[in-house]
Amino acid sequence: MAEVAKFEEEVSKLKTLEKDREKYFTNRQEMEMRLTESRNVKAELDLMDSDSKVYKLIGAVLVRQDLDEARSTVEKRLEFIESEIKRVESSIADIAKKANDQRDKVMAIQKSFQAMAAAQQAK
Amino acid sequence: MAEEPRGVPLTDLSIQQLSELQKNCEQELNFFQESFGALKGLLARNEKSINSLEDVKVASPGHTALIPLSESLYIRAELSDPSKHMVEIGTGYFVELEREKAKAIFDRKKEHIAKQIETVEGILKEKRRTRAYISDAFQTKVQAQLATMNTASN
Repeated sequence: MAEVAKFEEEVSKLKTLEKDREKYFTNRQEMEMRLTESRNVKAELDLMDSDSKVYKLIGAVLVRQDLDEARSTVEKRLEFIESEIKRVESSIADIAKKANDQRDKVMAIQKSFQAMAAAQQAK
Repeated sequence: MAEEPRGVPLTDLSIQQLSELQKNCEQELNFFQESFGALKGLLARNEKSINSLEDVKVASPGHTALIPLSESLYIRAELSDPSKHMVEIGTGYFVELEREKAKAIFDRKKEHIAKQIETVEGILKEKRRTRAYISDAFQTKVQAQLATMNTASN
């Protein structure tokens, strides 16, 4: 039956959308964690004396870094993560809307099935 | 994330909606339970750092110590300057600090973690209460439906 095939197709579309949304959610969660960590680093760096020795772990090596440089790097990273979060958030809103539309579609087909079944029974 | 039963009384929901809500609540509860565990772990690690700081307090330059390279391999090393410590402040950044300043960082971290634990604890309590409400409503619903089914079949 063509309708059943169509129905299954729409359902699987809905499932992919929901899976994608899930993915974006975990994505946002990870980024928020990175954001808080970077914020903490920024706060600590701001409290440092100007003659503090700051090192950055690169691979297995600690590399000496200028305090101002470290500050600006972290600052830039904060901005980057913030913009990334905004991007993911808009993707989430977008996909939520799509998922809702898709759900309505599936429900409509379901309803037409029920109507058909009812009509058949009435015969 | 979850549709909190705001404005809609639980008793107005269908069994399906209730079980959906129950699942959501369960998921959130698990999530916060995990965060709670993770935070406790962090607190313990932070405490260990503070204690180690106390341990090296008595050390003088030239003090020898066995430094673990792995769980079961140690190397004898000499402290050139025990008043300086390397502290990780996150995302791969380390700072060389005197004891007092290092201690201040750990104390701040401790306070920060403690505050978060408090928040998570509050949420956990709240979620548990919500879960109890939902499962209560769920039970009554199921019972009511069973009762109507019985009268219908009789």
